[in-house]
Amino acid sequence: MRSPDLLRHAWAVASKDLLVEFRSRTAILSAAVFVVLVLVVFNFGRDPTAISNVDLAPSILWVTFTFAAILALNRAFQLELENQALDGLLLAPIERSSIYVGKLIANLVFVATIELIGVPLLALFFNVPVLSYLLPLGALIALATIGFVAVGTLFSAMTVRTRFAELLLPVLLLPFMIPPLSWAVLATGRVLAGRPLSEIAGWLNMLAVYDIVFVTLAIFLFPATVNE
Amino acid sequence: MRMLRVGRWITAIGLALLAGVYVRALAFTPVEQSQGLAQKIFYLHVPAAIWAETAMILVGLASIVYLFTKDPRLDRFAASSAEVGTVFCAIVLTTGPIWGKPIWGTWWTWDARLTFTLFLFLLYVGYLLLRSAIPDPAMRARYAAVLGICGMCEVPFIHLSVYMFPTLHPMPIVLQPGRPKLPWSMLSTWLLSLGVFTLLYVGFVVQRYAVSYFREQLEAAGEVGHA
Amino acid sequence: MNSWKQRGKSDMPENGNYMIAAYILVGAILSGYALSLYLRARRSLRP
Repeated sequence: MRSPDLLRHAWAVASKDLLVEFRSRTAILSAAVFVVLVLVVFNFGRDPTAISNVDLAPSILWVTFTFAAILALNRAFQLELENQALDGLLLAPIERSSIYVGKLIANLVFVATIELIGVPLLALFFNVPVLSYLLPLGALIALATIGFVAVGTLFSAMTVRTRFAELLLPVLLLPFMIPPLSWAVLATGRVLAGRPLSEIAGWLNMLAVYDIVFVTLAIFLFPATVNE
Repeated sequence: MRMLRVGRWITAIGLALLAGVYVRALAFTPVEQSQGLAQKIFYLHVPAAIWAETAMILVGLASIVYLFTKDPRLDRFAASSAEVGTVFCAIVLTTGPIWGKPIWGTWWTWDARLTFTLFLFLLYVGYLLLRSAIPDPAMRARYAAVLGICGMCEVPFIHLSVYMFPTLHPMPIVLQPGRPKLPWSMLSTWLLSLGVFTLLYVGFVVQRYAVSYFREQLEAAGEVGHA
Repeated sequence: MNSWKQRGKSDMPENGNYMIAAYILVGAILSGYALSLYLRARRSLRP
């Protein structure tokens, strides 16, 4: 498996998916609307004297990002399945792993777009000091997102062929999302509260290890999900 | 057929010895002073927890070998270990709160250990659900193997979290570096219980394996749904 | 069973009921599962 080919093919797969999504735009719009909805609801639902914005912010952030991820993942292989296009993809002279990496990239771009919308909106509506912590926050968000999107992309290849696919995917994914998610939420809280970086270094390390382990694992396991 | 009989015998002996553990733990093991009688739940809770996690690791290992060899016996074993693991996990999840309520004052707390036992349970449920959602045996075995391997790799991360979070949960006193801190009177009961749970795991898995095998025969003969 | 009765140490909490509940529950789960395996095997053997 030669690396330049792998990446090139992966990028081809990814750009196909992103092009389709960009043309129809439904998923990204629903996710964006959901972000605004959550922000508005949380604003009305809390007592400003009892709970500070900074305490609530991590949870709000990660609820919206997770939803966006699930939305992207549910659609990841659906398009191919509907039009028997998966066979075409499999017949193409590319490594199976490139399909996975391509899908992963497309899903990550989707979720990243939502995150790029969500973080500024959160900063705006809730007056949370995001700019001063942009780098650690960005690293945290990136690492955690890669974690659960990597596993989710692998699982969506499987669940798309079962009945109740949209129901089964979140159920399967839940135990795999919680470790990176809980680390991310805790660390986000610390970052926004202005704690020193050394406190979150441990969590960043664990997230990085998690990502390396599961992306590698998924690349090796993906062919088993599409081999006939 | 012989496998089924062996499995039943092992289970029967296991259950009989379990009764012995009950008697020993309840009547002949000293009471822990600070926690009171409720501490005795420990003798059932911890061995069950050990096997709940080990069963998942075994599912993962069997899954890895299955993906290389495609031997259906490994898939049957994985399915069996998963089901038995779920039962033991349920025991941990129920005895945990029952032990926690008198000691910590609350049924549930999002303490790392309890929470991640919950996630182990969710891993098991997901695995069993995935299996039941795929009618084709070859695809079912392959997909279950993928999930099983991921599940097994998830377990160390679950373990890692125990030592990272401040927690109400008692720190490990038996399985820790250095010698166990328990007095022999309690340790011996615990070891006995661990042995019984091991026996029960084996007996249950062997029976469940046999059930899998019979159902596959019936399926092949076109007589019934799927395993 | 003398060990169940307090020997003048009044600081040990009275939580024997929880212990009993847990032990009964575990016994029920394990026997119940053993029974279910037995019945499932029997049902598979005589379709």
